Amino acid sequence: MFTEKFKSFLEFQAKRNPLKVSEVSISWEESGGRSISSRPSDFLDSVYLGKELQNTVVMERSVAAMLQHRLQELEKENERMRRHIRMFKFVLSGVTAMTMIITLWALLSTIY
Amino acid sequence: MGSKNRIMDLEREVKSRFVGNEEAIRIIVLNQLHPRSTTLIRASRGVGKSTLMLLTLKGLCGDDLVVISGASEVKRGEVVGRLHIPSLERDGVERVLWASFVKSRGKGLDEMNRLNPYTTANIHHLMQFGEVWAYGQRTGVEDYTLVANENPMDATSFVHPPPFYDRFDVCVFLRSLTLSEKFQLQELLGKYGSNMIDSMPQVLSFEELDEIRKEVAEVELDSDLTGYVNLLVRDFQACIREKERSEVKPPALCEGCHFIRDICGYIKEPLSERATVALMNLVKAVVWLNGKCDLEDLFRMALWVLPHRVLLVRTRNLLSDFQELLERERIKMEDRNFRREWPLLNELTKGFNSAAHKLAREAAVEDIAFAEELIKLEEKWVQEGVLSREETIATQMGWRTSLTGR
Repeated sequence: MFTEKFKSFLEFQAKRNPLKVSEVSISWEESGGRSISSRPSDFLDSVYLGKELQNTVVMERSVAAMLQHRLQELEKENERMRRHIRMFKFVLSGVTAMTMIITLWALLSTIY
Repeated sequence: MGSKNRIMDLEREVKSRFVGNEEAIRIIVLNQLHPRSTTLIRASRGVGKSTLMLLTLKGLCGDDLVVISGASEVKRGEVVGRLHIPSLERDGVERVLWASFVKSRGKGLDEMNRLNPYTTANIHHLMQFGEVWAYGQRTGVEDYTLVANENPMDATSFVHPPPFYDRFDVCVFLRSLTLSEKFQLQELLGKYGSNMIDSMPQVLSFEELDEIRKEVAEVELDSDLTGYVNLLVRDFQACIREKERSEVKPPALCEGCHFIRDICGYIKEPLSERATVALMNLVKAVVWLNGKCDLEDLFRMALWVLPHRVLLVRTRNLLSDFQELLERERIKMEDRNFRREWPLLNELTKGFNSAAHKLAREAAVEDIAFAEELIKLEEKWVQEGVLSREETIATQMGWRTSLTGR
């Protein structure tokens, strides 16, 4: 499926960055050469200021908690709005039915 | 060692007659070290395009060079060949006298943007097949060095087709001189006067260059370096929505795409495979000359292989735009190492492993080039019954590519 050269490229990479493979998990040790650390990236800037995100986003626990809280609040707000919509739909169908009855009654009383 | 010194001498001789633009000179010299080398020099007027072209050709071919100029009227007979009239009149035989441009080792195209489409079509054929045709007769073209120059801002330009530009291995851009460099130029002009080109010696014979080209061709690159060359080119080609086949091109094609912020989202027309060949030739030349080539060298050289081959979605300053894209590519390669993408793929080539597969899927969501290879493996596992179609990343992400065969 893959050529020998491609396989040797993969093997070379695997030797350089070895994996610890067990039956249920795979792990590896950081070589320390990585410039992107666990330092949080500017996630909020990307949300609020529209700045471009990197491929990997590292978030502080407090930022994650805040986002979680905001999501929960938005979900609640969503639920509240859905209830309102349901109520308005009910009222609107009532008003429509009443209008139709009144129109029909007015029409019939004009004829007879 | 002697041949390497010759190449360094060539660079030194050119640099001693041409002020600034050291990187461009370096790339032009490196690009001469493979057969049928083609170089394009782009710059605005009066920056030294023609001078640099002539210095390079003179240093390699001496007087065995012919320049076709777009600034003059070019007839077919001057580029390809003409009929030998006495043979036709006397014997009724159509004998073709091949143009010296065809026969010369050094070929120059000055102001290429002004050459008419018929002339460029003939040159295109020469570059593609190493032969020329005239009056139903054909002749092969021996190994050569072709250096062309053009000013893309020139209003009197013909628009040449992208496949023609793709035949040029590299395209270097010259800049105007800084204040101190202007002083240097004045000194040079004082020294050489109007004999700048005439003073350029032929540093090595074409036979010696032939030998060097053979040596460079035999250089064995390690799989790591080859892998990075292929990866770099693939990242400038790949598109999960297959833009090369699509009638709709980016940015319209990218609407709602998962990879919209990736490099692919900035590229309208992707790279051809010739970019890989050109980059490999340059890498081999660097390894031959310096004994090694690292990732830095590769990225620096890529800047001269990409711009004339790729059409960007938006262009402000071509070179800066490409530098930015190459910087993104560098980060992407680092990110791949961080995610251990290739070791994971290596593990998966040995057989299905659910833990490795899970990690590989996470990485594939952020990386098309990696996703393509994972999709191939998943297709194999689906056929072997190890994985169900619903569990594949292509199904779950809704990617319909030719790799999935659906």
